[in-house]
Amino acid sequence: MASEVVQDEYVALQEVVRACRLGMEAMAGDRLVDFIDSLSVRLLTLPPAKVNQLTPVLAQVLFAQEKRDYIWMADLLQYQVAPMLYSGRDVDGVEPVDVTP
Amino acid sequence: MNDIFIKNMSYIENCWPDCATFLGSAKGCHKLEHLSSSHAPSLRADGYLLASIYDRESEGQLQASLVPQESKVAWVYGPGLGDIPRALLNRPQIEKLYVVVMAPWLFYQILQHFDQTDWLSDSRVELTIAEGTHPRYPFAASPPELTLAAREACVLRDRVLLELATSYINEMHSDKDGQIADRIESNEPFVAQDGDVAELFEQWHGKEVYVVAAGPTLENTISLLQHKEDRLIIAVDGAMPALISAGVVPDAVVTIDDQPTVAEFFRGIEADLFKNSIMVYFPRVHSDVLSIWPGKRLVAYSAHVNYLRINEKYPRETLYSSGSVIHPAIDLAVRAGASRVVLFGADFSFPGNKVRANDRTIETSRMKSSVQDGHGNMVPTQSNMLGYLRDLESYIQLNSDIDFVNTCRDGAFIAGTEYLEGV
Repeated sequence: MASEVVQDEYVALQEVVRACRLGMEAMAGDRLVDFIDSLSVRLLTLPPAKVNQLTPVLAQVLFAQEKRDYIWMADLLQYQVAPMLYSGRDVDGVEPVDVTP
Repeated sequence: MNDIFIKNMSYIENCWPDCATFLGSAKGCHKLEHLSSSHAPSLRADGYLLASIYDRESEGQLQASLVPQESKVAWVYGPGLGDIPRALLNRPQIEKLYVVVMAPWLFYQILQHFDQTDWLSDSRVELTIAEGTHPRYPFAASPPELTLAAREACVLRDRVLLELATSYINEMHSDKDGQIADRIESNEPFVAQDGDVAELFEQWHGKEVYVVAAGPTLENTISLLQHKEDRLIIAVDGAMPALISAGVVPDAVVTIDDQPTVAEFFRGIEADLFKNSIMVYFPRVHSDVLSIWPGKRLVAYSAHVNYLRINEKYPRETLYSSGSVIHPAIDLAVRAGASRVVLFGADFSFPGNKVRANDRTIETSRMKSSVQDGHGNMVPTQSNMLGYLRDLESYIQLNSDIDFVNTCRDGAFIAGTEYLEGV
């Protein structure tokens, strides 16, 4: 059951990323809500160090969404958030770059 | 001028001299940040990242995937850093690629930082500056360049964004959980006893009909409704509180939304005053709305698949619907035979930082969407309202034999309308 939740959450993240890169703003916003809803429950079960690592990046994601900076939002989710949360899945593991505006 | 720019511009000057002239004159006092130390060099313009700093090629291929593989001709709205044109030109099937510059000042800057000659030199490419109001198909688009589009390209930009959102909007309205079907079914007793909206068709032939929406500018113009004799008024449900408090009784009210809160719009109506008014409704509305109405009710459907089943059992006419109740309200005026449709409170924006007439003000400074008003200024809005606006403009274009008049310049400018004399 737990792995299904994580899988659904990962799918939601991938859908956010895809919608952001394609300019599908409404879909990106709705799927982000799905992703955050799922993750906010699961955060309680994650090690504190992981939560501390994630929190500032998630804040940047929300800030990017508010500014409608969708490509940056997609990069943050795909290349920074996903590797932290879904190791072992087919995620894009590259060295994160901080170009926060 | 650097070597990259000279190289880029020489192609453009040779192949598209008009574009080169236009680009040279494109003004732009904007904040640019060249991100050269990232995995993939990119650019941030006015706070918007133009392309992935990790993998531009994959991103370009994803964006290009909106164009079907078998397409021979395609349009690209916003070349960005060139990744979408490159992805499409890699397809041997492509015979012609129209690359439309949405933000000339931005493209001018991109030409200074990034070598674009690989795709500019491809004989299949036709470079143009954005013009016209409707996208051509099939297309792919660079989302940040749409956001940064020049004011002249905003109508085209809105329609491109609307098209990109369409599949998701359709999915949202597909009633996967059956709630809309349940609501329609629960309203069947009303539908069975109520008449067909067609009863109103051609009843107001050649007349002037006022269509009253709920936008904030209704406050400024509502006195025109109070003093006009022999008026024919069609109101949307959200305008009812303002009309009730002004003592204006519409001839017809249109309601289509399934939210139970819609019933609040009808609180306080006096049965005696409204008993001769007609409610036109889509049967997905909450049954409270139907129960409250003291006058005659008429049923209409939209063309949506949600109404196919009930239309078989209780055939009724359809009204044009594209997300906002103002669409069927205007279509009702047109189908009733109006030769002139006068719009009130049709703002598609938040003039005066209000959502509706007689409403409190809201914070709009953080809203990122805006639209040109009737004064030529930009006024805050939301992307869904832009979609409603552009669909209405397309509708007006298809009904060019009818005069459409707007009564206030403070809301969004609606192409195809004229302003009421003296406004």
